[in-house]
Order: sequence, then C-alpha cells, then structure tokens
Amino acid sequence: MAKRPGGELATRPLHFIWIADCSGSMGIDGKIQSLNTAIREAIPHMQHVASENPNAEVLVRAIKFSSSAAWHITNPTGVDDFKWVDLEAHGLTDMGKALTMVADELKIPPMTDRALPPVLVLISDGQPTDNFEEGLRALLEKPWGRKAVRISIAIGEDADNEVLQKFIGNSELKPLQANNPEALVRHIKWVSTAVLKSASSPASQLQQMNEIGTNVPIPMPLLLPAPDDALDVW
Amino acid sequence: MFGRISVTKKVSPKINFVGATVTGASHIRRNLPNQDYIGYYAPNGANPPSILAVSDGHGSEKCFRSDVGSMIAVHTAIDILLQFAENSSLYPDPTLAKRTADEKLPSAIIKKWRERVIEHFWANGYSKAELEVASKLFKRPDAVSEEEITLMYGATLLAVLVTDSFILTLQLGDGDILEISKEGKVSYAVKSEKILGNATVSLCSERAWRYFKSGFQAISNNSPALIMVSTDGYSNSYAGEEGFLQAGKDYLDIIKSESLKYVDSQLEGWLKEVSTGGSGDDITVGLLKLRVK
Repeated sequence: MAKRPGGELATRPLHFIWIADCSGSMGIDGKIQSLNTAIREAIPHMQHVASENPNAEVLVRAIKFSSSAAWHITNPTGVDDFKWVDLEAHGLTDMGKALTMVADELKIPPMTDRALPPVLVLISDGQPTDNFEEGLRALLEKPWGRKAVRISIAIGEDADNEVLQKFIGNSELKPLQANNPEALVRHIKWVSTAVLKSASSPASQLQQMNEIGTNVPIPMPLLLPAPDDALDVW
Repeated sequence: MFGRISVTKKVSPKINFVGATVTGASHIRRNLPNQDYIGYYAPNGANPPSILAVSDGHGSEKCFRSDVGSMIAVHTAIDILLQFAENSSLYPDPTLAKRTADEKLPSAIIKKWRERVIEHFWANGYSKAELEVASKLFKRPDAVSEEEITLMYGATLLAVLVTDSFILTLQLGDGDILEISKEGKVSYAVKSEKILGNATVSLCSERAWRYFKSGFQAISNNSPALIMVSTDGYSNSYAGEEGFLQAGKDYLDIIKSESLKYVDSQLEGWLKEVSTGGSGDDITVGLLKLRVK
C-alpha cells in the first residue's frame, strides 16, 4: 500500500504582532495597566478563534517602543502557549524604530510565501518622537508589510491619528479610538477575534481589489461607530 | 535520381486520466461548498484530443457564486479547447498553432465565460443570503453591472490540451501545472508568479486575458510521462516547495509500482488527508498519464 504522495504537511503560519507604545505618558491615568489587562484578557478569545481554524497556525509576539524599540516577546509563540508579560511605561515614543524592526521580521525568510497575511496592531497614545515616515517606508517596502492587515488603536485624545491612519494605509478604515479602559478592552478583543478570524481564512482575494482596500476583508461591524462610553478618562 | 529518403515516424500519445476534488477541512467546519471544479473530456478515449480543466472559485464574501463560476470556467475551457483541437489540422506548423493559441484562446475563454456567468445570473435570482450580501456591496443589487456580476462568479483556471501533435497548457491565477518526465524529473509547465497572501488574478480581473500564462510543446519521445494539475490548496499544504514537487514524482512512481487504477482509488482519501493536515482549503488534483509511441 503506497503512502500519500508528497512531503511533510504543514498548516499555514499567521503572524500576529502587537506594536505597543510604552512611553512615559502611557504611565498616566492607568493607561499601561489597562493595556496589559486588555491584551491578557484577549488571549483566551484568541485561542478560541484559533481553535476554530486549526489550519492556520497563529503565532503571536510583541514589540514595545519608548526611547528606542525592543522586542518585548521576541519569538513567534503559538497562541496556546502565549503568555503576556506586563509592559512598563517610561521614555519617548520611537514608533519609527519599532516599525523598522517589524519590517526586518517580515522579510522572506524568515517569512515564507505560503504564510497567511500577518496582522499588525499598532497601539499608541501620543506622537512619534523619531522618524516615523522612515519606519513606515521600511515596512511597506516589504511585500508582507504591504499585504499585512494593519490596524491601529489610539489611546486617548493626544494620540496622533494622522500617523495611525498612515500606518493603516486605507482611508476607509480608521484608527480605533479608546478614551477609557472599557473601550480599549473592546477594541483589543475585536482585533484579537474578528480580525484574526478573517485573516485565518484561506479564501482567495482578487488581487488589489477587496471590500475596503486591505488584503483581508475586515468584518463590517468595524465601520459602525462604537457606542458612547459613559466616562472618557484619557 | 535516387537517394536515401529519410522518413520521420510520427509519434502519437495515449492519454489516461484520474482526478479528484475534495471540500477543504475549513470549509467543512463552516458548512461552505467546495469552490473547486474539475472536468476531463476525451471524445476518443485514450486517443487525443484530451482536455483537462480545473478551476478554483475565490470563495470570498464578495464572490458568493464562485462555486458556479468555477464550474462554468471548466466547461468553457473544455468547449473552447475542443474547438481549437478540432481546428488544429489547420495549423500543421506547431509554431503557428502556438501563436494562435496565445493570441486567440485567452480572450475567447474570457469572453465566453463572461457571457455564461451573466446569463446564469439573470436566470437565477438572488437567494435570501445572497441578497443580504449584494445589498451591502452594490448600490443597486437589482441593477448590477456586468463587472459586478462577473465578480460574484470570480475563479481561476488551469487547463491542459493534448492533441496528436502538441501539448498546450494554460493558466490564469493561482494553482500549479507540473510536468514529470519518464525519469521522474519534475518541472513547472507554466511558472506563474506567486502573489502573496491568498491574492490571485482571476477570470473576473479587468482585462484578464493579459494575465494568462501558457506552455506549448510538440509531442515527442521526450514528452512528460505525467502532467499534474492542482489548485493552490494543494501546494499550500506542504511545508515547502520541495514537498509539493515530490508529490508529482511520487504519483508517477506509484502509477508504475501499483497502477493508475490504484491511484484513482486512493486519490480522494489522500487529498482529504492533505487538506486536514495542511492548508484546510479545497483541493483538486488532475493527473494525465501520457504514453508516447
């Protein structure tokens, strides 16, 4: 009896990267604590979404930026094993540096051409203090940088929405605004579930043409305004 | 004047086919239909012409009739290629046949496919679920344009035509056509540039005829022993390209050691195993076994 033709089988990797602002201002009014809580609470939901599509291997990591940038959780970690390590706030907002470092990781290799589109989530409460444009350019020069699902979350009214919008690169998809902990939890959960689920699908997309300009169709409820939250603190 | 006359013996192929298509593991979980379609037509049995066509419907929310689109694509390709084969005696020079194929076939296939999907659309109203999607996507779901209709049916196309004198391969969009020599050497019949992230060109792409890739070779003793046509769910299931190319060689080895009938009996099970352990996508494989005498 002959064995199955071909070599080793493999599920398709889906890289999910948190790009988190931990500048000094994130230490004010509990923003960094809320971010840590929101990401930690989202993990079981991500695991649930991933379990519903075992053919996508969800690999999570995180990069932080303040004065310079550094990988916070360096190795792409299977979502079932992913544990959040709390961020601490101090320093400036070197967002451009973080994007340059993410760009390096989206080269082929270490990425492969059979991967699913990566999901990049940029979270910030302020304005970049380094060369953001250079970092964004480095990211978009990479094919996987261009093909990535790029979402941004603005924490508080002082966030630079213009910069966050440039990161998204799609005028129909706006930065998610979080002016209080509840909104932040809601947005983090949405990115961790609905967007992840969409990115996990093997469905083909017509090249350069999809619902709202990203490589992956973003679930429509995103485009509806979020309900007003009772107490905006940020 | 007398001299030695050299006579070139014409070689002629015999062609046998096996193929299978399976619904992807992820589609089964979400209760979605198979978006792939496969068709084989050989009016003279194992004698040429033989036509194999495979299509992969996009399956995205916007392409909510792409399972029908792929079926129409396969039938259209077979019709057009059969007509071309029947007229191939008009092109005794293979170069002329190739040029005609390159210049005429892509636009003929696109034109016929579009006509058929538009006809299908107007003959088959929206289901409740389709109307809900169409209402979100189109300003006037009851008065959609031809471009909007073709998008609903979007699909790729891979096709192989074997006549008594040449092998023609055509590809639009993702998927693979491999040739395996008698010695087991594997190569791409058509090398299509891979687009990252599940993106593909399509029968519904603007000026889609520009994106067709083709391969052409005269039948000879060096013709491939096996041609493998597969949708991208297959190659995306292997850890690396080598593992996928190995499949082509393995099929030929198994046909030699067991039989084509054996492959036919096992193929569907193998493809289910690959989808479950790999990409989760629908998978279709068509194999043409050639013997040239």
